[in-house]
Amino acid sequence: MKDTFDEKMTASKPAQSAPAREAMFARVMEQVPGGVPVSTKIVSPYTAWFQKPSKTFATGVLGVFLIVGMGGTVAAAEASKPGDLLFSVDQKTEAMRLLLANEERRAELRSAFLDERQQELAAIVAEEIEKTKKEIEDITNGVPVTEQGEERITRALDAFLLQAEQLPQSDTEGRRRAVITLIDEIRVHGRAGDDMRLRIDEDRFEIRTDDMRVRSRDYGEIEVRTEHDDEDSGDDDNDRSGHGSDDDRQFDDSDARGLESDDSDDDYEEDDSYDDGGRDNVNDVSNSRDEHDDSDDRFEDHSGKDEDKDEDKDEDKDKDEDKKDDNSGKSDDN
Amino acid sequence: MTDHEWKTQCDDAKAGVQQAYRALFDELEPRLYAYVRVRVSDSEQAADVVQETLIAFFKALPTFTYTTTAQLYQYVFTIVRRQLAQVYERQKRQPETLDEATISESGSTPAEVGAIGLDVAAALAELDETAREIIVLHHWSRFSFKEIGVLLAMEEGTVRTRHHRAKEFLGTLLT
Repeated sequence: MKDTFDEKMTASKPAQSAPAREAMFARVMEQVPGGVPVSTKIVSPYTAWFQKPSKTFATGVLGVFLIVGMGGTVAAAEASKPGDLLFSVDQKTEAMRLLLANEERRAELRSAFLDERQQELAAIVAEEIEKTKKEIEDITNGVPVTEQGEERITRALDAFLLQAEQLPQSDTEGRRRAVITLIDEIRVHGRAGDDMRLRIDEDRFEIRTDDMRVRSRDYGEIEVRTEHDDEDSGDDDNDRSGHGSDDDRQFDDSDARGLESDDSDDDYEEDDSYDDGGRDNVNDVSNSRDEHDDSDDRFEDHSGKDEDKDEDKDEDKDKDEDKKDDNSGKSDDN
Repeated sequence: MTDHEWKTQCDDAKAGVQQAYRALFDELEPRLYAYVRVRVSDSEQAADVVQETLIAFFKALPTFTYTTTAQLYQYVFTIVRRQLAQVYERQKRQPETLDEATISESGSTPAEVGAIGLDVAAALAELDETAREIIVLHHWSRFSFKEIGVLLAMEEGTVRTRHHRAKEFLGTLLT
């Protein structure tokens, strides 16, 4: 009975035919992401070698790749430089060429190889200089912030400085310098030529961006000037400064006005180096007051470079004289 | 296929290995087809259900975590039952019984290599639903009693007992 039952059950087992199964598998794999029906592919007899590669075929393919690959390696080695992975291949190729050449040809080859070494050296030097330049540039650019970030930083800095004023200068010196170091690295991302410049003197500070300036004045008063304010004050101010419409110097005129209204000893010096390299100037500010107490000298350049360069100093003096002329004209206008 | 092989194939299929899909298909398709075939009216409908089940399973593989083979079967059979339910819903009628659907077919269709014999179909129709399912799952889908227990949420011993009784009953009908 058992055999009959099992036989009948086995004989009655429903199953799909092989083609129907293959077709189903193909349809299933078409629906599965990334699935490709593999078993339903009809293999052309002409491409059967590639479909089912034999050992002989594989050896042949490997041989072809080796030959072609060696040629490619030698060609790549030709362009390699000292320190490159393929440079040793390049040298061995050259040694082989020397070995196979006659005496006359060998001398020519040696000369050519020397030229090649020289060119490689020059290329490496150029690459390294370029690389270093890029690194320095990256460091100089500092940490980028958004405009919103800049605004928050300005506010926080303002608060810090106001707080610092409540303590003796000697107690806050270290922290001020830490802040200067911190701010000095910050640049506003995506705004060409924009940077935040900070000056801290013994009893006052000034923060500048290309379109805003915040500074403390006498008796703890905070003055905020924007580019818009500056434009409202009239174009003739620019004319009087002698800087015309140069955007980089848009605050220079307001500085001049501030200087006129305040005691000259307490005002910030008008400093060309400030606009060109505020960072250098930050370090020079504390010294600049001691060196230039005389108000007559307040237009001198304080870049700190003129001490070592007499020629530059002469040129700066000429410029200062021009500025004095401009300033005297301004006074006349007023 | 051993538990380890099942796990390997599932992992490989998740990684997109075509051969793994093929291995899973070869293991699951015959079991599913036999199970589905006795529940639908024709081979084409059975093929559709199996195909949709396998597609759903393969698509779900990235989120499927293999633990045991029985768990995998349970997962797949949950899908196939859902597919069958949709078929029944579409047909707006009760699942066709073997005597209504399969017995009327004479011989295998071009898409089938085997067909349920009239006598076997008639004998199976005499069984209750659970007994018939146990017989089909064990003899056609080649599941162990333990796996059938998991699939039908029954104790293995109960499955064995009911299988024994059903087989005895069928034996008397088929001899």
